[in-house]
Amino acid sequence: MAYLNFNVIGLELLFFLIGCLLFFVKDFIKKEQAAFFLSLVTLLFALIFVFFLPFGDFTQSFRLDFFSSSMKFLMIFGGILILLLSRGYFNKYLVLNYPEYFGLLFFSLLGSFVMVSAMDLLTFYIAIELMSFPVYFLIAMGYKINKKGIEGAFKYFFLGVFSSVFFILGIAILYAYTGSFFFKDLIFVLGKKGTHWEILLGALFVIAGLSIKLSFVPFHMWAPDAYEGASLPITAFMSGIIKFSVLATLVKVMLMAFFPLRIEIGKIFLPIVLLTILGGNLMAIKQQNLVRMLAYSSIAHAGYASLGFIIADFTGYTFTVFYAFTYMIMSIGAFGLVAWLESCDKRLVEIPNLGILGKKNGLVSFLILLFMFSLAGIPPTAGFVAKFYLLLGLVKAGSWLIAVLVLLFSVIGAYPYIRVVKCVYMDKALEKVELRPFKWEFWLPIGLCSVLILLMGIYPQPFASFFYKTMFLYLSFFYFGS
Amino acid sequence: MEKLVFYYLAFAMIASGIGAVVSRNPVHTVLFVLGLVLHQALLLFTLGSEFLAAVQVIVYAGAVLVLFLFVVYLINLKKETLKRRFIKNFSPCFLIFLLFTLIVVKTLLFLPALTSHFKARLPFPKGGSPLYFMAKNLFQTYLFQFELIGVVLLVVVLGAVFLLRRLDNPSEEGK
Repeated sequence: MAYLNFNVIGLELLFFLIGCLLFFVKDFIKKEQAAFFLSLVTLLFALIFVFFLPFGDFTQSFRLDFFSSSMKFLMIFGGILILLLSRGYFNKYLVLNYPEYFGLLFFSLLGSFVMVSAMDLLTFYIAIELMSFPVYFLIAMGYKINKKGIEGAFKYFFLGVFSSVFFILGIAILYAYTGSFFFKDLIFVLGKKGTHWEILLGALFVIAGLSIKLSFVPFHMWAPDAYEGASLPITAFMSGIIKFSVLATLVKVMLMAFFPLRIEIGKIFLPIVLLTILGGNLMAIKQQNLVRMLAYSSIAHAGYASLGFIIADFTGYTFTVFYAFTYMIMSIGAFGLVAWLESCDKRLVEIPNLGILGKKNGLVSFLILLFMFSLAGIPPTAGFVAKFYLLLGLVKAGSWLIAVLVLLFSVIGAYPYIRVVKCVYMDKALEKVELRPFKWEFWLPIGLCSVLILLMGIYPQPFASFFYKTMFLYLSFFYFGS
Repeated sequence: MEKLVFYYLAFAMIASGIGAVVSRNPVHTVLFVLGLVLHQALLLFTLGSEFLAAVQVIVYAGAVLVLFLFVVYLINLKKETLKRRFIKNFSPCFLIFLLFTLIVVKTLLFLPALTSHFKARLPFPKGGSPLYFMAKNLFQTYLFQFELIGVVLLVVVLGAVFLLRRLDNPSEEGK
């Protein structure tokens, strides 16, 4: 009984076809920017198109529902920001301007779409692969401008292979004990069986596989090298959209497959998350390179976002997704600014050389201040609100000790961001550096990010309730609908 | 008798796996892997899926390993000149290795007790052509995954061709 309802996978079909078309668009249109405009128009179209698709199943493995279509909407929004940043970045590095760049970006987005709508572990796994493989190629592309590209791609690739091994082992154990890949069967069996440590073992391996993609601390080694080697829009893509989609899917899996075991799985998450936050923050302190600093901060932020799995209730999962979205916006903005700095001068990526900005370009200095404050979690920004919600959830769930620890760690973690701000505003401008104009390809996405950050920081209620309602509608649709 | 065959196959597979890792000559390694794959095919045969056994022999032994052999011959690998042992002396890596071995051994010891919890069935129930059940699984239950794997392979091929033709070619510097 396979339901082949092709309307449901309309968005995926669109992305697949356009992604294929992008690979040979240059044979039809000789224009320089044909691939860019085609992908931009497609993404803008998809931003609206995603709301007109009917909810439903495509076979038993794929389901479009309120949760997945709103997550897809947010991912497409992030994709547009990345695309604009890439356009600006190509002004300097023309060697990267291949149509294949956009095609691979589309395939990676396609993978994350399928992942968010996956209804069984097998689809989840294959979608992760579909999401990661284009990213390996995109990182390797950074080789054209930066010899570290190949190194980063290889590290990410090998750890990605490990991630697959762990994930498949976890799926195999879960299959052996429950007899099914499908979430609906898993939750049924788990609800009947109660806690079995074999099932927890399977869940542990699944989490281990995902934590390589999320760069949790025992598996974080690839992150700084890959982030540094890739061209910077791709870095923003990796740290923003991929982490967001993996976290959103993990929340979905927790709600749909492992809901009876959520407390125990929260206990598995506890040491990993605390180590991740501490490790990421500590290692960010001594970095001189802005990209490496942001890479370590990205590790720490994945840890913050996963605090919701320790809270292990409905609000916790909601705020995990909320934090992941906030971090996606913050990291796209921050890496976008770094992309602009790097396209001005490679020396500007080193933190002590940033002094020139405070003298020459007030707007960019202010934007850096905004994003750094948001990453550090200082009040009128979204980073503060997201962290506040998660800590509130922790305290309400009774684990105030963890909340205090996280608070202490985030105080440590504030240092590297404040240091960047200090370097921008207080350091002397040591050398003559030509700044390029801050063009629309940069100010449009970065400005959107900063407006969103301020909006979410000052009036967070509609955003938070949007995520809560998404979850709630989703769950009610899952349990009572269809 | 069944158990005897199973134990023979299991030990042969483990032995050839170890041989593949330990041997210093790349050609020997490939041949060991060939032995491993053939025994695996026999194991599948005893489980009652002749089709998968045949596919295993044709695809892995027939195509993939021959490709490996070609690669080994083409790039003309010498014997490994490195004579260092795996674990030189007591190091953190060795500790981790010991820990992992301990976990594996413990799991193996508990395995007979665990298998009673197994809920998974053989994918090919008795009394029916295995080919029929496989086709049913592949084209009905897991149709979406089957198509998705096609997309993944397409992406990998596109990306690999792109990396080789565009990035490796110094004459084609962007525009």
